[in-house]
Amino acid sequence: MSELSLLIGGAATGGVYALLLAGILLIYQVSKAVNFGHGQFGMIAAFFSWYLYQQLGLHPVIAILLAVLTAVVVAILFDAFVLQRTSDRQVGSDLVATLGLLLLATAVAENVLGGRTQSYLTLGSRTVLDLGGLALNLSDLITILIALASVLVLSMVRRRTRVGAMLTAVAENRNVAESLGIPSARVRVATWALAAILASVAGVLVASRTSVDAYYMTPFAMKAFIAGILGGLNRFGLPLAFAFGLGVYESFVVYLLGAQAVTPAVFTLIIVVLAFAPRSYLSEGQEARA
Amino acid sequence: MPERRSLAHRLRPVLPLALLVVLPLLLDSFSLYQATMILIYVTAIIGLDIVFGRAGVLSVAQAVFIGIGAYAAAWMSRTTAVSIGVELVVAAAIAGVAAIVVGLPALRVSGLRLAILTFAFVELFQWVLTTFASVTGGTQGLRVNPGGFGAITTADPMVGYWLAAAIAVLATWLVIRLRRNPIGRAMAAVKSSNLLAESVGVSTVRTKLTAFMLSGMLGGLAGVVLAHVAGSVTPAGFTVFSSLDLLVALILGGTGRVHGAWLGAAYVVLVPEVFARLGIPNAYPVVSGAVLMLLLVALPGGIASVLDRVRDRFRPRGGHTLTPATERSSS
Amino acid sequence: MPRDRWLTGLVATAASLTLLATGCGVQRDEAASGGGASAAPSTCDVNEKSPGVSDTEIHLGVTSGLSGPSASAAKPALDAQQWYFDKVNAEGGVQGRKIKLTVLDDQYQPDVALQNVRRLVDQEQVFAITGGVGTQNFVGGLPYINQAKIPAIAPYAPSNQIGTMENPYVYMLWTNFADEFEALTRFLVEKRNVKSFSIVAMTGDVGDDALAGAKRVLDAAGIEFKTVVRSEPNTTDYRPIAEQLKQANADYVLFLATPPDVGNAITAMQKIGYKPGLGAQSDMLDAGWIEAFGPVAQGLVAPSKLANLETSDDAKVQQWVSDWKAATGKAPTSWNTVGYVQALVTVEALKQAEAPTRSCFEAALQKMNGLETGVIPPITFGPQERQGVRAAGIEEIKGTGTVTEQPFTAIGN
Repeated sequence: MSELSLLIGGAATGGVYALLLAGILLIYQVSKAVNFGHGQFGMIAAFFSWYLYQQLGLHPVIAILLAVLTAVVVAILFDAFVLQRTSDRQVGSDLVATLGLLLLATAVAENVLGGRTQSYLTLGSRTVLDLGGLALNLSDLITILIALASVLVLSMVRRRTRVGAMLTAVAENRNVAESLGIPSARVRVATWALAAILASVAGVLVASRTSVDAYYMTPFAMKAFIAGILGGLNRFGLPLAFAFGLGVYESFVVYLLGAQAVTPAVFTLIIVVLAFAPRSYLSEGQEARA
Repeated sequence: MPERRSLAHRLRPVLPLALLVVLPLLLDSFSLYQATMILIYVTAIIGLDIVFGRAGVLSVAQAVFIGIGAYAAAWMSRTTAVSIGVELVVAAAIAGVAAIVVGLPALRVSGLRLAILTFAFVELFQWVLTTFASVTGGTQGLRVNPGGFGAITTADPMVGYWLAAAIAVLATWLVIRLRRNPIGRAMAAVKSSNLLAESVGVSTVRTKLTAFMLSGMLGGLAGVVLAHVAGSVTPAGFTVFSSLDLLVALILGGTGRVHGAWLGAAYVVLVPEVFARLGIPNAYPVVSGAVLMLLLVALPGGIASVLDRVRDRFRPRGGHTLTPATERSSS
Repeated sequence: MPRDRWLTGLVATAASLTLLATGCGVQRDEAASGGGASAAPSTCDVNEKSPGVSDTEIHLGVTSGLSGPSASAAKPALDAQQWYFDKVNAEGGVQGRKIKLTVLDDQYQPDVALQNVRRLVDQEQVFAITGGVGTQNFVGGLPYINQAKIPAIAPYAPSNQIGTMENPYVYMLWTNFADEFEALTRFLVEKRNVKSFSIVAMTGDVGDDALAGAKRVLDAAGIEFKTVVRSEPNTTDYRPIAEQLKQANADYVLFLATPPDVGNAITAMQKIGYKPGLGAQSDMLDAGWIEAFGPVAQGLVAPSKLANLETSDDAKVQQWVSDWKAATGKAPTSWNTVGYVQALVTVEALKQAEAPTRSCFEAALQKMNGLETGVIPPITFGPQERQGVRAAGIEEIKGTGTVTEQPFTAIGN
């Protein structure tokens, strides 16, 4: 029965990757920037809410809401005042800007909230449900459900609704979209806000399953980026599927080969996919702009 | 287009070189160390500039090449008695090969995907360093024995300085020559647009791999000097954040121009020192994130662009200010 | 043609470098390569001119991981260090001089630590380096400490290199992980009759140390590990490790990993219903960790480097606790105690030195034989001995604190 347990546990971790990746994809497709500081939106939500309910005594739900709001505000301000003013001029300046965000958020959290790792609300992570002999962890189920639901809803919104069409239009070509009357600035703000919320959910889930400090989201964000490479930053469904799959893959590798094998195993996966996927799959599709 | 080789133009390198020669005689021990560190950074950053600033490939793996050079030097200094010349050649070779390997995915992916992949390479390097602890010393690293020729060894800090200076000058010369060279022009074309480059017969892949190789070799050289000057190598010195420091330094200093690398190196070593002297060293990491963003918004071309603007004011009209292709904004 | 010229230039450079390379190999001066075992025992020279000493002051330096992951340990330690030096100064100082402390933060980075050591030696010209917290950072400064021959007292940097004559200027008070795990495993095998063990050890040399230490005891008792798990720092999911441990089903699981990893792994084991006995390195006795993970880690045993401040009846321990409470209004934490001992031993050596010179200072340190501080086991250095303490107690987590299961006992032969 441990195989099923590994599968579910891995899928839950993969669900976290997917939540982070969804936000990264949205930001990338609308703002054309890879947000290397994305994991820190989750950190802000979780670590700050910990501070609010643990040190200041606020009710946990209020703490979480306030912290998520903070993450959203930080995201929007960052985009409006920093990222949008750097993108076009210098290759990589948007990357450095998001790195600046990563550094700043980490340093501030460390100094204000403390450098020590803290345990967080359990949110069902210690509760075990017994379904006919199979022990299922409640938090795993919640994580998988939330991740799947978010991904499916987002997919549907993107494809079937007007809002989704606006998003895609702005992602394709911002100027044309604006000339068609789409409020691209508002779309952008909404995108960053949504991405921050997704990251916050991921951050809180991870904190409840493990613990929280100023750096705890970094490995998760890294895995999300890897799933992004594998699936392609311009797509949506496929990279998210890779995200779930990556969690399961890692889980089995650790169990069968030991934790030391994870890094090379993930690497091998990347090399294999990149080496054997057809070229059309791998192209970024943005070339004809000489 | 041949450049006018006026006397003034020929004398241009003399002044900085003279400064480089005189400097160590004026500095105290600690400042000499800082100057040496700046020179090491210069070499590393020029390496990054070749692959990123000039060929337009975003790579976060520069720390790996420096690390390979450093660990190679450490190992050679402990198990062999070869001169530092051998160490430099071997390190540059290994790092160059490693860089080609890192760059190989460029055959199939490009842009940000490649950048994230270089991120993954750094993690792989860290994994190798920690897992094979019997060879690499694990998290505590290795002590580096002095290197040199015969009796002249890096146990003497002046020797370390001269070594770093010589390699920095070599790197500078290399990258200046590069720009006027077909390889350099190929890189500029590739940076502008892959499609354009291919359409004029430039092999995108070969150019990118060459760029990686050069950046790797320079990183390896910088690593050797770093190992001897620091006296030890540990994995903590070659992480993603180390690479990011270099990237930050490059962008702040200004890409595509060799003095950008020098300015960036000076920034990364001297600005934390300023904070330390003011008694608030911890403010640096917090502030640097903010300052970084500020500079990006206000000075996208880096500090070098400011100096360029100042210089242009004094340049006589009709001069041949060759605006490098790398500076035209690539959309 | 420019390209040919460029290539020629490159080849020419490569050729000349190779010529240089095939030239003489390098002569290495033995003394430059880290001191080695050739460091002679210190004879006190009262006329030596040591830096950092004036008629009114003795200038000491600190480099420590005050920001970054080690901050929550380093800051309290520094607070206690400074408090102790201030106290000594208020009582008239030592060797008729006041102690001046220069503190530098190395941000837990080895290159910054090296820079700090250089700054302390070259610019600040301190007499000695004292205290500090963090291993990976401190190790970066070692080459220059050896080169400058400056004594460094009691850095909290457990390592199998430090405390040996490889680094003869560093006087170590803190046991390394190999010793810790030997003590822990011996206690479990001999006092609690445990017959089956699994171990989770971080990849790399630190985990290797723990394994080696535990194995010394297990091999002698003819016991093998049921399973050995090497854990990685960037773990996102602890479930597979927990499953592996549950499969092996040992009575006790030993941990050597970063405190967050240990806490997360224990939590994961509990989630799947595996509740063995627990053992871990001394970091788990820290009040902050117990606060965060206490509920899942009840009954965890760990080797202790410090006396149990709450229950000890040693007079010196109680004096320290009441002094600190009087000064700050709070009970001292384990990290405060670390800083206190670092300062205490530095001052003791200064007091015992015949004159305020480095050679006399080191001679005084090397003469320490069974020095009692109460809070740590007795300290013994020697002309060829730099590991002052090779003893540990065993504490068990109960409730929100710990209870002493075994007092300080010597480790090994």
